[in-house]
Amino acid sequence: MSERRFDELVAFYVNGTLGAEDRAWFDSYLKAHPEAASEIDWYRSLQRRIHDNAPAVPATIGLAKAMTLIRGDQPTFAERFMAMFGFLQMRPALALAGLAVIAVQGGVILQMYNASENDANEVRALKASVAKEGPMLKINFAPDAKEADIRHLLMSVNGRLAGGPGQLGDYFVVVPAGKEAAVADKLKSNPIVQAVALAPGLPPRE
Amino acid sequence: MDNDRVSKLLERIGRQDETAFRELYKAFSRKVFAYVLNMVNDHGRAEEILVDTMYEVWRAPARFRGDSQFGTWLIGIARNKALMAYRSRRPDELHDDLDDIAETAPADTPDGFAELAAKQRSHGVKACMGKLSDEHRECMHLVFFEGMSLAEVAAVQGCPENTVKTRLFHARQKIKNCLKLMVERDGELPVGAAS
Repeated sequence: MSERRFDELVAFYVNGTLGAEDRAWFDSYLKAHPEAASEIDWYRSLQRRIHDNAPAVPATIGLAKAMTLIRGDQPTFAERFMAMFGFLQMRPALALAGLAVIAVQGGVILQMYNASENDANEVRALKASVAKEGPMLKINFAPDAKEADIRHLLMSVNGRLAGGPGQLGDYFVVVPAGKEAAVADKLKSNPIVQAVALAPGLPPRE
Repeated sequence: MDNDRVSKLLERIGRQDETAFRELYKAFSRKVFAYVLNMVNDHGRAEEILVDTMYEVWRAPARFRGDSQFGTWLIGIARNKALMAYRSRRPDELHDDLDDIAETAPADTPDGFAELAAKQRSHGVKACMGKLSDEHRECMHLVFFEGMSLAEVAAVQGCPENTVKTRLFHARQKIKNCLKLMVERDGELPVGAAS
């Protein structure tokens, strides 16, 4: 029994990792069996030889490769993108495609915006065509004039809205040629009209 | 390097501190390399496994929770990688086992141990270690080179302590008998092999 315990413990006695209790037992065993000392010596010799056989390599072995590896581990653009938009649960390629679509849409919108700015004036919402035929009147309506009343009045004089209202509330209306004076008189008689004047053309864009 | 110092370095590595990584690498590279080389017996492959092992530390330093010595934990990672490399080895690279030698060797005597201690040489020990089975060779390395306790060896090898005791007993018998046969055959090992 004690010989078996000796066999189990001897390697750890030699490498110095035995606990206090086992070590005390081992020391007492060696006192009782002095012939076992030669075996201990052999193990110590074996341990020295094993250490002698340790590969003679510098501490930097493989370090350059490791550094290359970790520097290649810096987050790529796709990884950063995923970190920002990872909640979308998209693959990087799909996410980038989505980003491209957004960019194209933005470009189109910007182009449309610029194109609309080239339009004549402030009445972009009305998409007024530039009247090239007939005289043009500049009309100011009362602040409380309703859109329906304005439209009805302009229709009654065969007027066609060419521009306005501008920042000063001016409307530019093309009227039938030769009837501009009569139209102006009729308009002035309407209570929703504050002023009417002949206009040489659309004003420059404000 | 104690675990406190290791923990500080690992914290810095968690913040992508390359200087801390270098320090940790240099402190443990030789230990890990020696272990892996003992396992795979191939210098280039051992270096690759070392680099892979340390790269794991760089990627996830928080995985070490201080439950063991850092070196033991590191060897556990290296072991898994070495076993994967081992599985990819060609059959002709496998080591010979020494069961037949163990059976035919003479009985131990105090004089026999003394003679063996006097005559065995590093190259003879290396040759005999190389003839052990992988598990036995690993066990011998962990005990006599790494200086691990019984519990640590069991943790690294993933087996009960009694299994470690059994492996160690057989490994010692085989290497001892292998050395005896070498000494008996050659008297002393060749001069060029002496250390």
